[in-house]
Formats: sequence, C-alpha cells, structure tokens
Amino acid sequence: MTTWHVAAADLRDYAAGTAGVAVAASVESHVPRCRDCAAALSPAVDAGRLDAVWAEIGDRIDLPRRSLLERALAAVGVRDTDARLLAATPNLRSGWFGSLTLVAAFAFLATVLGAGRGDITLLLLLAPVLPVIGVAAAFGPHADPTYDLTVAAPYSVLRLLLLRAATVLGTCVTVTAAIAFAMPDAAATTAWLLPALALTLATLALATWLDIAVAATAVAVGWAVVVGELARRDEMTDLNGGAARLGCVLLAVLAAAVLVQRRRHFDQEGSR
Amino acid sequence: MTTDVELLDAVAAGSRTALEELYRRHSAWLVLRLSRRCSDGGLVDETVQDTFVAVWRSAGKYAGQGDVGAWVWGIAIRRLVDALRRSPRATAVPLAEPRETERSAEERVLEGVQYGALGGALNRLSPELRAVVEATVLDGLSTKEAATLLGIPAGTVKTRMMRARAALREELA
Repeated sequence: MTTWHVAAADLRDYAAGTAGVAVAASVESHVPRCRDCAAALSPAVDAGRLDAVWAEIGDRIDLPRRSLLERALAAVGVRDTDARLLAATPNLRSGWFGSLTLVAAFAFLATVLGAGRGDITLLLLLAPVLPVIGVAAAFGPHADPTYDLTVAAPYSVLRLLLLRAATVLGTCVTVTAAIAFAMPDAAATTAWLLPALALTLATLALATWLDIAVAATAVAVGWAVVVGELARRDEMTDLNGGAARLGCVLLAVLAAAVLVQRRRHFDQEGSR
Repeated sequence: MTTDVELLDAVAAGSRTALEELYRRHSAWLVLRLSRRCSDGGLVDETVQDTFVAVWRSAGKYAGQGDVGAWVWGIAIRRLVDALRRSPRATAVPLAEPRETERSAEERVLEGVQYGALGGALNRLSPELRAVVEATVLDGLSTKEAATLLGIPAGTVKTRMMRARAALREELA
C-alpha cells in the first residue's frame, strides 16, 4: 500500500465524470491498488445499485454451471430452453454413448472375424436398430425422470421427441458411420443409413398408438426377421438393391405422414 | 487486514464471504471506471456481474502477478467489449465528456502544473482522439477490442491513434 493518495478534489471530479483525461488516468491506475482511495470513491456509487448487482451475482454462482454440451449447443444458436431439454436427454446423461460404441465395435469385430467375403449381415442387422433403441430410450415414463414434467409442460411433446430423436440420431449415426467406414465392404458404409431412418420414423409413428418401448421392440424384431430371412436365403445383397431402397423410402414417408397426422396423441399420452 | 490476494485464495477455495468482501472493495470504482467507457448503466451493471461471476469461477487462475484490482479490471474491460459486441445497438462511445466549461481557468492551470505538459496535451486532444488513446494506451486494449468498445471500425482506430500521436508529438516538442 502506497502513502501517496489521489487528492480529494480529483476523486470527486472523477466520480462526477468531469475529470480530464490526465486526472482520470492517474485515478484509474492508482485506485485498483489502493484500498483507501477505492473506499473514498464508494459513496459516489448508489449502495442500492451495488447491492442489487451483488444479489444477481449470488444467484448466478448458486446455479449449477451449464454443461459443456449445453454451452456448445447455445453457441451454435440453439435456444437456451431447447439446449437444456436436449442436455437432459437421458441417453446423453447415462452410459448410453459408451454402450453404443461397444455394441458397434462388437458388430465390427464379428464382421471382420467372421467374414471371408465381406459378410455384412450383423452390421445390417444391428446398425439400423441402434438408433431405434436410442430414440426409444430417450423418451417415455420408463426412461425419462423428467417425463411427468415434460408432458405437463406447455411445450409440444412431439417437438421435444423430435429434438431428442435428432440428438440421438446424431450421436448414433456418427459412431456407426465411423465403424462402417472401417468395414472391408464398401456397401456396408451406406447400406444401413436408409433402413435406420425408416425404422426410426416407423418407431415414432407406432409410438402414437403404443408405448414407445413396445413400438421399438416391435420394429427391431420385425427388422431382425427381414434380415434373418434374407440371410437364410443368402440374398443379403438385395438389401442394398433398388427395391429395398424404394421400400425404405416408402416406409419413411408413410411413417412421417402418420407421425404428423397423429401428433396430438403424444400430448394426450400423459393422461393414460 | 486481509489482502486481496488472500481473499482471492479463499474465493478459489469456494468462500462466498471472501468474494463478497472483494466485491465490496472493488465494485464501486469498477462501476465508475466502466461508466466512463459505456453510457448504458444497465450494460455496466451486467458487466460488473459477469466480471465477479468470472472471478468466482477462475480465481484459481490468478497467476499471482500484478495487483488483484488490475486483474479484475482486465476481466471487466474484456467483458464490456464482449457485451458491446453482442448488443451493438448499445451506445459504445463514452459520452461522459469532461465538461470543461464547468471548470475555472484557475483549476485548469493548476491541473496543467500538477500533471505537466503531457496531461495538458492529452486534454487538448479532440474527444475522438482522446477516446482512442484511453482505450489503447490506458486500458491496454488491442485495436480490434478498442474498435468494438468505441463502436468504430478498426481502421479508424489506427488512423486516429496515428493522428493523436502526431498531435501529442507536436504539443510536446
């Protein structure tokens, strides 16, 4: 602490905003390191104003810090409320991502070890179903601890469901694509994408009638039957053919139409 | 008497009372100093708020060099620049112009004596040039940051700084 202090008149001028630039510079370089002069300036600022700002600071440091994910979402322009909802997606909070990677890695291993001729059955069986399971696990009374709040909140449940589905698909597709690109068979890298989209939409559409877990199970079993049958007949390549693609597109469009048509059923789900 | 550095250590350890004491010591001059650079009181309050929340979160990052007050100011001026970047409609130009007319000739002479030729020369700069000198030299902002703070293009900051330098050189020669 220094023994030199700013003259009282200069402090007054500074506080009143009438000090010249030299006086101001002198005050500003001295005051941050001199408690006496800083204290002498205090009366110039309304105490109520400082108390109000302090109260806000107290509120903010009591809040839990926004997670990295929330801040990243906010940074790319997602609204604060949406970012919070997305960050609360159960999958992202639990070990979902880890299990997903594990399952995909097993599929990769099994394919590489088991295939002399680039057999992609296992990949095609699993890859499109992963997002289905993911979406099912992202929503509903069995998975979401905030489910009751979600349904009661004045917020479109379909909107939330789609937001969450998009998040899950994003993580799912990234991981699976990374695995698929490492596959020896070029067809494997893209063959599963269309089925994945169609199956996920079908699950969401079915969920307007059934519980989403039941819907997801039904879709997964149905897909397993189709893939199993094709594998038995040794016609796996058909899955990458034009007919299969057309079928997937039709299923996706149909499911999307049903979803839009029956979207109100999500909002009523809470009552049953 | 607890020093600022000790308080900051306590803040880093999670003490709210230490943060409050730091706030009591440093908030008033911070408000005044920010108000000289931004005429929007709400934005000043918001900046002070942001600054102390940042102090709370990054107290552990204080390297122990320089004064705590100067460190806090370094956070504050950059938060103000950020806030102005987010809401450019807020008036960035410091409108608290020194009202020279209210000061007697005698006072001005005394000031000139007290602070020497440089102070007088600085005071005679036009408000635009003075604002640039304050932002770059006294606040230590980069050209870009000063441009945001003053609400003018970065190129203008550079030319005004050059003109200010020339003017000062002429005055002091």
